[in-house]
Amino acid sequence: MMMMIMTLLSTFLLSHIAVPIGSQSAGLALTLGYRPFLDPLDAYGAWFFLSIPLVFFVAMSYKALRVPTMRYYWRQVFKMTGQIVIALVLLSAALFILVEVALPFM
Amino acid sequence: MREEPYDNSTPPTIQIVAPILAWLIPGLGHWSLGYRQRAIFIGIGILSMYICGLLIGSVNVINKTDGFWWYCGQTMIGPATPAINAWRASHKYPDDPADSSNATTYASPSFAKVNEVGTLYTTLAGMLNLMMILDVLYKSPNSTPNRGRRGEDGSAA
Repeated sequence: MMMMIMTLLSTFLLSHIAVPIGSQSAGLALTLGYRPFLDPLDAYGAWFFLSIPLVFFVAMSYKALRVPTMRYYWRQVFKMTGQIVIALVLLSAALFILVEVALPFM
Repeated sequence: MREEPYDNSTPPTIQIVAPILAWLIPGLGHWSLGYRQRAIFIGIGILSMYICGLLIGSVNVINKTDGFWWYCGQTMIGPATPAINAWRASHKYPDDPADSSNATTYASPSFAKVNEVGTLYTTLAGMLNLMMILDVLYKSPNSTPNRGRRGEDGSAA
């Protein structure tokens, strides 16, 4: 069971991370012609990493509103960012196991 | 970093100008009430999110016709969203982009996840700014003397 999960996870990582990195030559052609705000970013292979800055900016704005005083502001921001990122990773792993491992046996 | 606690010495009142300022520029509502350090972080956070969304998915993530409900959320960021939508609508993607006679600047369409992530960035920025607008709608101004680098009475902070 554990081996199966590890194999599935490694397949997923290889197909979603290693392949986009390997196809840099194709991406380079698009990057050279990149016009900010007019062309979309060539991040089709690693779009899920874009959730990290999103979470950071959400935490930054939300904590600026919510903290009683600004003394521990940055500590609170990084804590909230970490909590959300960890929750996202755990939820993704749980859904991955549910869809790829549990459901096929049902 | 100054502590800048919320001022509870006076009861909160309904604000008229601050929510409008908060809609025009994120963070300006809190700035006008004297919470300047909070305003800076709110402004940087929300505007960075909005600009990153436009950089990721291009200005095509703002589309009143094809994504009306997303557009409603994006308008909470201020007048920039309707302006971008109007510009994008007037600069359609040409039938033949390679045609050199077509000198008009246009935005390339974005698809799939990149478009979705860009839309999510910009709409979340709008929703967060709505939260800031609602926050300054009923709030007591910061009456402490050290509102900025120099207090209301002219003394240094």
